[in-house]
Amino acid sequence: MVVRRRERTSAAAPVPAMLEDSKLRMTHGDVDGVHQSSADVFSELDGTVVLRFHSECRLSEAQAAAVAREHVRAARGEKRPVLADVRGLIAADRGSRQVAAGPEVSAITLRMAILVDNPLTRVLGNFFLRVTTPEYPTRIFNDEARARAWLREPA
Amino acid sequence: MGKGERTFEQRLDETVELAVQIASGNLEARLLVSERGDPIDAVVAALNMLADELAHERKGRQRAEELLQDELDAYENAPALFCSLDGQSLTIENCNQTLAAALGLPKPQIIGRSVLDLCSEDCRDLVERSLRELAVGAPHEGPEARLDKATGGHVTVSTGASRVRGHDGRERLRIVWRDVTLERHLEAQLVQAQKLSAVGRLCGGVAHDFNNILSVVTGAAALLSAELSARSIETEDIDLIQQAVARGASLTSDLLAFSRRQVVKPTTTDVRSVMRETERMIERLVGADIQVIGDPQSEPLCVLIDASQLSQVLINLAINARDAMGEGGRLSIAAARLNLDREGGSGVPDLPPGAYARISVSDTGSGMTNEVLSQVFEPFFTTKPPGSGSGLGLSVCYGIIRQAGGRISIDSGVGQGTSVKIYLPISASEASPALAPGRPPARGGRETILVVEDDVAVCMVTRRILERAGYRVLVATNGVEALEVADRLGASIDLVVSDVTMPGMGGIELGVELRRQRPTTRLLYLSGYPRVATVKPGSVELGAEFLGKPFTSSALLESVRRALDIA
Repeated sequence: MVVRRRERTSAAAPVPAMLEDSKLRMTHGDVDGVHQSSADVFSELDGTVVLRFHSECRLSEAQAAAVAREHVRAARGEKRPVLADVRGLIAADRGSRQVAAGPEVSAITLRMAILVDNPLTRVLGNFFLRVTTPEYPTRIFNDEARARAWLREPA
Repeated sequence: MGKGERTFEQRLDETVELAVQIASGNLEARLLVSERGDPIDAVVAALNMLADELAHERKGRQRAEELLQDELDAYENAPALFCSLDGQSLTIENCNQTLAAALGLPKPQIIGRSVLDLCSEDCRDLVERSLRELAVGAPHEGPEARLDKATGGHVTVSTGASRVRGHDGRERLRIVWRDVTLERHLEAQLVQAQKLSAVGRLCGGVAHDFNNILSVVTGAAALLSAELSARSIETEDIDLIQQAVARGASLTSDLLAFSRRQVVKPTTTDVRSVMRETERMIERLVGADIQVIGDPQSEPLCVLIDASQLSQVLINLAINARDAMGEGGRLSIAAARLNLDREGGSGVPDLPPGAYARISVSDTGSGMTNEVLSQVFEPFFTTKPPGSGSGLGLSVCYGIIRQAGGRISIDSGVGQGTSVKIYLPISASEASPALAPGRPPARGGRETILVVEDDVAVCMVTRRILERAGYRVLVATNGVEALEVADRLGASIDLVVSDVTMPGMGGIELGVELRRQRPTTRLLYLSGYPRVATVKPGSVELGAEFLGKPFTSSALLESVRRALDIA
């Protein structure tokens, strides 16, 4: 079938919301921030690892693997709560979903809150949750604060 | 809506088309999702991911199907006979192609039958008991069984079995049979060969010693006979002694033939000519009620064997065939060339690869039971009434063929006749003329002969025969003593007549030493064993004469004269 391209040039990466909460200071040593081509990956002071995908991102397996490597580095060998902000995602192929649910990520993920904001990202999140079925606890949120609250709940 | 943007209806149509494509099996179909993230984008994304998953499933299923096919092929063509049974009825529910091929039946003719139907009658109870015990959970002992082939004959199998519970909750038995027919056949052949080898050694030893005794008796009788006037009553007694010696010598000759230690003169012999020459004699032997069909190969089949021995083999086999066809029948004697490219290829287990003359002697007689068949080559084993057979006929055949480097095998069944197959290695050289020139009468001489023999009686008789013929005779009872005599007398000894097997220094060592000291020393060896069994190729025997025991006085004198006359 005919597939039309309707991609838009990528906008500048948004500043992570939590950084404006003054809970974090954007200085070296306080936050390990790495700008990826598809996501920003950083660890917050409370131990939460944030994966914030860039807008209009079509995530491939290779890109997901790069994000996973940064995720592993940010977790520093410990199981951490993860906030996956997928509001910028447009698509995620099967390989990328498998990487996100794979053993490397599972080994360092205590639980994952998936932050969505429209029907498309909700479908992507649901598909990941119900079809790819990661081993770690996963929930979908529209609201970042509620997502963070859930992540902070005792295990 | 900007220029080039698609309407909601258009996007919906495209989304429906994507769904149709996926539903039709086109799992490569995808639509790009827009950045709007609206419900249509959500559905498109869901359909794209669904197609991803389905494509992945399809690939996995294809891989699983390939693996399944591989495993099915492995099951069907495994080097083992598989079948699965209903645990209660023992009905075969499935089997592999190897089992079908082994039995010579198509699978549909096996599936649905009781497994006991496949087993030979004599092992059905054992197999049933074993499987019933397994079905109730007892450990399986894996009895050996025989399965009937559709074409006749059996497959001997060792059984392995396990109990499994199917998806439907029924107990099933899985049977793995391993075809051990050839293995058992080889084991039986090995046991038989070892037994025959042991008996052969015993026979050879007895015959050797007996030949020494016969040499003394016949020599002494000949000397006595020469002392007496031709018509005296004692001469008749001596003739009786000589006849008894001849019978004894024939017996020891048969025993030596069986033990493969007979004195033989192997020459390159064309099997066809021996068959032609023997056929008429066989026709007379078997009588008019038996039709003899000779079918020699058209091309030459040259083998290295004593022609008279091959003839003896054919006659012995013909006599057995005649005795098995009391009311007449057909005796077929055929020969053909056989090229074996692998060991045991002809069904004769230890036959090395190479070219062979295969001689088949088949009759339509009463045949033999397996029990009889397992003993036929043993000396003195006979099924004939007392006085009708010596029990050495097949033993002699066995020994002659083995001594010629060949093999002999027998197939027989009660009421099915008997087929004997002989395999002789094809010789590269051409056949020698069959007839030997007539022998000139033996004559004596005046030369000096040193007789070396540890058996005092044989030594004495030999000395007297030679002295009576005019020779000057010296004696020694072993090799060391002979060397001392040779040292003393030097070149005046014209011939050394020596036994081969003696304690201490044997005849061959003595010959080597004498030839080392005086290369022109003439030698004549005497032995109760044949030349091939006593003399190693390439040793001093080259150029030496050889005479087997027991010997007549004329044979001794003839051999002595021939040895002395060697230039």
